[in-house]
Amino acid sequence: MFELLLYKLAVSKKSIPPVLTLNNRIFSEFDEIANLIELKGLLKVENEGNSIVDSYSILCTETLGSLMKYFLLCEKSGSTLYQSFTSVYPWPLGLILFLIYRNRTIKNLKVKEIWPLTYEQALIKFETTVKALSNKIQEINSDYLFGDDFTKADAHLYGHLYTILHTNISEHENLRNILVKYKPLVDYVNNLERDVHGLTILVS
Amino acid sequence: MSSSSTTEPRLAFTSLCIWPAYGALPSFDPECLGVLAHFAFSRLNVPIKTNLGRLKFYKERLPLLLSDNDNIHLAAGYEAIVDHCKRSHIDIDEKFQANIADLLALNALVKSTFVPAVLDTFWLDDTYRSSIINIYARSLGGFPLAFFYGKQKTESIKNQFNIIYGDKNFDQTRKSIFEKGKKVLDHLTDVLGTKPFLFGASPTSIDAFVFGYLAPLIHGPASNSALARYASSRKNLCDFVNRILTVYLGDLAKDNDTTDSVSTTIPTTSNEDRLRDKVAVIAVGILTMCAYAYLSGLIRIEINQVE
Repeated sequence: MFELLLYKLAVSKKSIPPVLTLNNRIFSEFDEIANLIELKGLLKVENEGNSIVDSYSILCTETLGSLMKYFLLCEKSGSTLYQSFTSVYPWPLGLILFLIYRNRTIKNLKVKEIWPLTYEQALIKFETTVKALSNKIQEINSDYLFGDDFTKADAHLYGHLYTILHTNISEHENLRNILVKYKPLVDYVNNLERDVHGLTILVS
Repeated sequence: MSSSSTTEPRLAFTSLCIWPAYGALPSFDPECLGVLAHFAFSRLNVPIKTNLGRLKFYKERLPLLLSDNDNIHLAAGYEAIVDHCKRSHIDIDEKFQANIADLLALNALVKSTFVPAVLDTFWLDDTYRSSIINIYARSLGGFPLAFFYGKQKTESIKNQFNIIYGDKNFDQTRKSIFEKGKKVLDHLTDVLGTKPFLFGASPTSIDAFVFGYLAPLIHGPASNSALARYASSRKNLCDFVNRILTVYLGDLAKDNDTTDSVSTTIPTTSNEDRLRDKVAVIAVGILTMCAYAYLSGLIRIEINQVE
């Protein structure tokens, strides 16, 4: 019974992080929270730039995000993902949740045509994307992707790159080695990190 | 393909298999059209094959790039073929290194929002679905392959949408796909402006990709759909499609038309298929009648041994 409850909690929408609670309302996942922030006027985005920002957000989530998932699940991957489930949930729930997540993610990556790539092809795709973003940041010569304004595309890019650079996931080692070759991107992450560390976050 | 080829890069392939022409389009299939435009932009001369057997049309994923006298399948599908070209150092985006991030971002946006909207119009909208299947049915030889192909395609697209957007409220999902598709059309209109191509005077891979999905939407049987009417109302987008059709793919569309008319005089595999069908139907009919006659007692078979 307890395990069933845990499972329900684990797969319910409420538990998909990040979760923001505001006046008894729960905002879950990145887009919902980002929309709320834009709606409250905390993040200014002009209508013209909206689609460009969206396109960069999609590039980060669909390409970088999907490739990161690919490297965690591909044949050459280790047991990091499995351990992340079993360290939180007791056996066999951890294993079941891992298998469900693996199955869903592989289906998703197949639809996005990422899963059929070979390991080397995936690395090339990652490097092409990272190189392009690095050139963009170098060209614009600013702390953010779109000049002086912080956008949700910056949030997406920072989130993905920070995970690769500063978390010790063995499956992402090759990605890290590629990323450190592009100094403008490493500097971009470090600049944003200073901003993020300046925030006071209450964790309950 | 393009008559204006000056320096022709060499790729180890012998032919490209695609779905056949439809009206002014050299192929109706969006991926095939995208690859044709990509090859035309790269000034690559590729022998085009549209006269495949109906089973091959049903089984293989098209466009299909073949090598070594058509014995080796090099790559199938738009993405794989473009990747293959890049690996063979044929990259039309090479000149755009400065804007490559914008190009990749626009590609990601079109792929995740505009492509689902077009596929939804073609394969999930009951008003246009049968007309779309009829186009593919000509190559598949009608029933039953066309029926199964249409069913499979619709199911796989529904399945894809369920995987990506979740399976909570399918009608709501379709509405949001349509709205996002319209938004991307607005964005493409702004990006294109008065330029001949999305990133200036020369074509890029994203031009080929957008053209592949925009052309059948505007010039196909679903041209009356809400998304197609929205696209047609954008003059610069229509001009963009028509310009690529006439300047880059004009020769090819004509070529296909002539091969279609020639095929009536030269015996082809489709005639053989028809003859084989007739023989098969007659044989099955005779066998059924004989079986019925034997089982109902009209015919008896007696074997007498004569010494």
